[in-house]
Amino acid sequence: MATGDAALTQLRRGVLEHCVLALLESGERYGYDLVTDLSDAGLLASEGTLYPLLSRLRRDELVSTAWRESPSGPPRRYYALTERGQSALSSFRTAWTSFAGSVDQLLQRGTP
Amino acid sequence: MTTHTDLHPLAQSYLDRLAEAARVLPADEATELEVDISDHLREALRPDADEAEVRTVLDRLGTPHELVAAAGDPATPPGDAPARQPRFGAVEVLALVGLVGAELLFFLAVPLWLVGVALLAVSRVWSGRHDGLRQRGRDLDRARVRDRGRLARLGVHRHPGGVRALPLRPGLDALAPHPAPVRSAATYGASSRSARPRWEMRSFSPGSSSAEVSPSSACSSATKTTS
Repeated sequence: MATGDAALTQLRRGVLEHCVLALLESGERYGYDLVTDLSDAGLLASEGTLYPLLSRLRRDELVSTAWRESPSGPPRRYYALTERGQSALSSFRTAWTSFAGSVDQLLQRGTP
Repeated sequence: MTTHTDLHPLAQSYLDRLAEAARVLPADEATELEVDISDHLREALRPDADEAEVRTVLDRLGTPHELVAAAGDPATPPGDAPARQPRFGAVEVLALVGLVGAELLFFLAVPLWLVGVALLAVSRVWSGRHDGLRQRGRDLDRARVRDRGRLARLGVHRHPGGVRALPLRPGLDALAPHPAPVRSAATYGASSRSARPRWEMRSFSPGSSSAEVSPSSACSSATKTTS
C-alpha cells in the first residue's frame, strides 16, 4: 500500500506540470481555480505546492501571468499558456500517449 | 493582496510561519509564494469561516515547510522538507568569503587596470625604441633612412669598406646657423650606435669586408655571394 502511495506521488509529480498546461489550453485561469480542479482530479497531494510550480512555469516562459480584477474580493493572478507552453504540451501529449500505451500493455500482460 | 487583517487568526499564523520558513528562498520567490498563498486563503475561506473549516483548508494546503521545499527544489519530495532545512555551515561561509573576496578584487582590478593603462600611455620607457622588438626594428629602419639622408647631405656614400666623408656642398654647410661639422665615419658610428650594426650587416657581404670596391661592384659582389 505504501509503495503504491509512493508511486502515485512520483507519478503526480511527473505529470502535474503538463496537466496545468493542459488546463490552460482552453483559456487563462487563476491560481485558486487551477488548484481546485487539480485537487478534485486527485493530482495534488498538497494544494499549496502548485503555486511554486506555477512560478516556475512562468520563469520558464511556459505560461504568462497577469493581474485581473475579480468580481468579488482582491485581484487575481491569471495564468495563460505561451507559445512555448503550447509546444511543450504538444510534445508531452505525444510522449504520454505512447508511454501510457506501453504501461497498459505491460500491466495487462501480467493479468491471467 | 497581502493585507492579512481580515483573515482568521489560524490562517494568519500559518502565513507568519510560511514567511519565516520562506526566508531561505530568494526574496522575490519568497514574496511571490506568500502572496499566492495569502490569495489562496482569501479565496478558499469565507470571512465567517469557523476554525474547523480553516483547519481543513490549511491541511489541504500542506505545511509551510512543504511549500518552501517545493519552491526551493522541484525535485524534492515535500515529505523530505524538514530534513532538508538548509543550515549555515562551512560551505556557506566559504562561498560568501569567495564571492565577497572576488567582488572586492574585481572592484580593485578595474581601477588598477585603468591606472596601469594611463601610466603605460605616459611612460617614456615604452613609448620610444625600447618598446619591444617590433618597435626596435621600426626604429632601426627609421634610423637607417635618416642616416642615409644625413650621409647623402654630407656627401657620404655607402661603401663596403666603411663610410667616407666627401664634403660635396661646403657652401650649404657654411650657410647653416651652426655650421654642421663634417663627420668622419668614426664620429658617425659613435653617434648612432643603434643603427650601426644593422648598417654593417646590410652593407657587408661575408668575406668582402677588407676589399675596397666601388658601390656598384659591391652591389654586384653582394648578389654574387648571396645567390
